[in-house]
Amino acid sequence: MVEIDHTLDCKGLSCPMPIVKLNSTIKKIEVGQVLEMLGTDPGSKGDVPLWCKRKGQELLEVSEEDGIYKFIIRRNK
Amino acid sequence: MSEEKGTFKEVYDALFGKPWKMWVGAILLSTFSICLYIIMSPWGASGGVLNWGQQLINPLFSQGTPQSIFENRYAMLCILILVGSFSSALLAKEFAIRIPPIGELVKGLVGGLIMGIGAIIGSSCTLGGFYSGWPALSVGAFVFTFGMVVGVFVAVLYLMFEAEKYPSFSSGESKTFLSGGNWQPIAGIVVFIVGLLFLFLFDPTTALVVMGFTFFGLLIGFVLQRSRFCIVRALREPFMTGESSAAVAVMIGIIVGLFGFAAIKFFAGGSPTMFVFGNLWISGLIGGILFGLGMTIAGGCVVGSLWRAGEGQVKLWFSVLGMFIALPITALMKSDLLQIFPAEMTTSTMYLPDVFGSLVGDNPLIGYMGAVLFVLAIIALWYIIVKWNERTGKLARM
Repeated sequence: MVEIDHTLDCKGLSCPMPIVKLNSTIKKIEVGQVLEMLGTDPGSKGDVPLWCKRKGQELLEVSEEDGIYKFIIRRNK
Repeated sequence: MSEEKGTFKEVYDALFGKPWKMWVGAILLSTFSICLYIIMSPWGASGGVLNWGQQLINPLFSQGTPQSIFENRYAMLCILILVGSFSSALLAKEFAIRIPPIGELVKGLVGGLIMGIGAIIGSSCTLGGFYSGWPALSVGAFVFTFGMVVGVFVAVLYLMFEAEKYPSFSSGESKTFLSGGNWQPIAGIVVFIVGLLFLFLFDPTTALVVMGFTFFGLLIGFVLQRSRFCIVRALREPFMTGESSAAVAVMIGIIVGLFGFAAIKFFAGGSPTMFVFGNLWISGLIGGILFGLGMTIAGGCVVGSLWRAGEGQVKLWFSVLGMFIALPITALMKSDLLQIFPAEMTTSTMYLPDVFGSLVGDNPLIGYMGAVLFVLAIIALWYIIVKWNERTGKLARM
């Protein structure tokens, strides 16, 4: 089980706000720390992995429960 | 029996397990748009929401009764886009009433209002002024698109500023209802059937055109939701993450539409003026800038707001509400608003085949060939820019 350092709540937000907030929040945590992002926009299922790949951040886990998507991301750089 | 069940699950997973590639959606949507053009006129959207709004606004301002929603083909198309998207989201278990923090609702409403004003000033939306407008070979569509790109860029800067400096604006209490649940696919089938029942509202001997728009509206809403087709994304991502797949999908869709529309206009006697709107030059430019700003703040253009409203995104309900108010009110004021400019700067039209044809003694064949090649060249240039930007990140602000 990865230890979560920060949680970003994007529930209720629609595209592009989850990515805009993720991009802004990741800069505020230390390299190596882990961010948990919660969202309800079905678009995030594709957008978050793509953003992680482009930005070189590590997507550790993706899960979905009761319509809430959870992404665990480690800041790599 | 279990084999049949396995095959059924395979088909279900292929259709609803994950989103379709956006370019697949683009090809289907352009094909439907060509079908609509064969029936009467290409895919558009702002005129439909304008007609909805006129039902309320026109009587309030003593402007008489507007055309009935059931007689206006674009009004029916827009209603069925909502129904189609609702059905598709349910079938994929992606439907939920998602209420965002209040700041986001404000952005939905304000974005919708700005979009509504821009759509009337520029006589276009992302369809008439871009996705259908380029294939219709309208110079005004290129001006409107240029304006939209400017508006999108400014709005991206604003969104990033807001997230950095005022993160609380898009934070706070949110609520989600009705998400998940195995009841959704069954409800999705019921909603789709209800959508088909709309066809029986019309008498085929007198209202075949509206019936056709109703049918294709259902399919368009369905495909929009499954492929998450988003023109805002195509114009916005190069300035945000630098990612180009949405832009390429829109390019593919425009190319399909381009050959279909040009064939109808040149070989099949389609009117050259179809979807060539009188918005040159200032009105198209200002309208495009406003529309680009509004749709990026709202997170969806007219159709983008409609299909997201159908999957339960309440922010986009507010965007539709903003357009519902702004479109008819701006339409009443348009001529007064544009009076400050000379008419030839606000209401001119220009048709690309005429421009190219006039270079060689008004030869229509050369005119159409030149126009189609011109549009393809612009798309090639756009492709080179977004791919270069994807590699280098020069335009990307993230």
